[in-house]
Amino acid sequence: MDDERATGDALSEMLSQWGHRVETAVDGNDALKKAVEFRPDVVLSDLAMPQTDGLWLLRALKEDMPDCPVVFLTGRGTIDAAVEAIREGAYDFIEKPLDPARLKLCIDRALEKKETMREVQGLRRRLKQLGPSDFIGQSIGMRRVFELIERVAPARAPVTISGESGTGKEMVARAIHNLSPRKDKPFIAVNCASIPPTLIESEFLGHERGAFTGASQRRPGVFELAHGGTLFLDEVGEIPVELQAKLLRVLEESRLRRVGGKVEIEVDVRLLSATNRDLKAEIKNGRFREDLYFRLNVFQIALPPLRERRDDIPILVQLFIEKFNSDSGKRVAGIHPDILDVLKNYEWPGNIRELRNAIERAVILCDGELIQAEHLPPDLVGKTPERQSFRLPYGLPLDLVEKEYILGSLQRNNGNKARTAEVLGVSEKTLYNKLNRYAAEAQAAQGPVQTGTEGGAQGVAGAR
Amino acid sequence: MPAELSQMRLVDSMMHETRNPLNAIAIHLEIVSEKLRKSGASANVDSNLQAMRSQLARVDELLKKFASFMLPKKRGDGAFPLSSAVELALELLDYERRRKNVEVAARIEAGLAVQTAERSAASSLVLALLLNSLDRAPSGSRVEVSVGAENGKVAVVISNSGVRQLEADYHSSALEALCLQSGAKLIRREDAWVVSFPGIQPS
Repeated sequence: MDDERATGDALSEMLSQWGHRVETAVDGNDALKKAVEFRPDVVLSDLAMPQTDGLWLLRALKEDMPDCPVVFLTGRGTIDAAVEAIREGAYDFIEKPLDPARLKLCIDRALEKKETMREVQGLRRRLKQLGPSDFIGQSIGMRRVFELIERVAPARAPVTISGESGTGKEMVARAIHNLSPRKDKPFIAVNCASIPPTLIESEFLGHERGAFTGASQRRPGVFELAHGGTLFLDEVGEIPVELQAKLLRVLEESRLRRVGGKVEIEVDVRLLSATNRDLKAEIKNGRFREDLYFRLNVFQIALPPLRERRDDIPILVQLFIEKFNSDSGKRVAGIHPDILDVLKNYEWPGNIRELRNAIERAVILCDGELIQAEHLPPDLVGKTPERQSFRLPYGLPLDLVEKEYILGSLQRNNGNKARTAEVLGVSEKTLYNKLNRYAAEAQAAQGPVQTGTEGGAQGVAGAR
Repeated sequence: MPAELSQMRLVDSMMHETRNPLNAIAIHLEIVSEKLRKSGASANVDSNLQAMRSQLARVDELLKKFASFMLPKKRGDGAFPLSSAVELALELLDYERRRKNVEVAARIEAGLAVQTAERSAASSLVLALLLNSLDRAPSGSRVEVSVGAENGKVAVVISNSGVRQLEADYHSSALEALCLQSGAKLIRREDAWVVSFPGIQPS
């Protein structure tokens, strides 16, 4: 917006040369009307004008388009007003006579920020659609997990949940319980590795008063506590082999006898279990009973590690940002796209637990709108391990395998498309076509997002 | 309306009205550069375009200095930055110095600031004394300018090496008025003006 039409037209011509689509206006009312129709990505405006000045426009735009960055051009006499404008939410100001390089940089950054905020809005919408749960994901691997959970939940069959540490095995167990007819009954989770071997029998089966030294009163075990509901035994491979027979009996007969007890108690428990150990190897080594293995392993759900569901990282990051914002009273909007790329390329040996901790730290440290590199743990930034191997779960469509392989190769070659095409044995044109298709698919997957652009050109309403 | 406020509005208005055309020139220059680059002719005129950008920046720099001198920014504590005002005056008067073929030797203690009732009066006083010294200096002579702090005061001393005595009638009522407005004390020595301001403000 500029009250000198000739200057506004010249600025429009310059911005068009830079590839932007531009609308010009000569006063605040004209600018506001055009902005509502044109939905610009950036507004560039003179600050000092005879009637409706830049500040008037800024305030009016904040009502209609709060995310639209406004950049002011100002002469020396209006620097104080420009500072005031920044306080009121202007993106930046540039002194006249303008330095084209500085203006270009400023517009690029404003567009980048707009794009980031647009992505954040998209993620927020998706989070809203997914509902109030920490257990989310849209990758092929996780969609398969959700499908299995829904199928197995109504049954009574035991389920073995496998997955690396930090992948969310307990959350799968809770999801199965919550979707089952037992959802109103107790859900008891026990980490077998955390119970001393001498206490594990009493912990599982309970004990009578005086059953052993220190048993001053009767205490029910976890099976009794979970009666009618679900018992989740994490690290089930840690149960001593001598107790495994008793566990098997409880599962087969739905009855147990407390330690030191004389009567049998009926229990109705659905058992879910998880382990990091290779139970088949444990059976061979005599550390795990084969009959118990088959009893537990009626239905299996394998959780993919985070590095095999990188597509879920943006939504998980946003989920954790919202969660920790709410916990700490912060107002972090999202994460800088470059930093999100760092997270997407990291190997995440600690899986979602590690990601969650990293975002909690970042939200605490971040005082601005976007999480930046300095907010992440130092050992994560700049130390993204190179992907040496290509691993994908079975059951993926072939074109998705191709996509993952191409993107992985591109990352391995530091984004160098010529080298990647050479390694893949395809022409650069073929690679570009595929990358463009993936980008379009990703955008479509985010749902309809209103933009003020056409044909990829970004709109800038502005002047001087 | 106080003189300082009038001057402030005049400077702001002048800056707005001069920077708008400079801005338009900068934009058109960029458009022309891009058109020439696209037509493949930019190599022939690159140096000319660069020269135009440099001259534009030169005019803008001069305007900024002029505005800063005419209306020096107060420091956070409200003090008038005397050292930088004298430096700016010497830069703005460089054409006068060259025209008169006079050498100026400046010894300015950096960052000295003073309390003054009217900033524009203090600037005008410094300017008037510098101009007087340049006017009286014979071609090839030397004017010495110093700004320093002593005994709780900041003094600007402007001395001419080429003339024996200051003109007696120059200590005019206009200078007295500026001294009154700015709170400065003016002393006429045999070959020098000494203007001192009270209240040194540590920078």
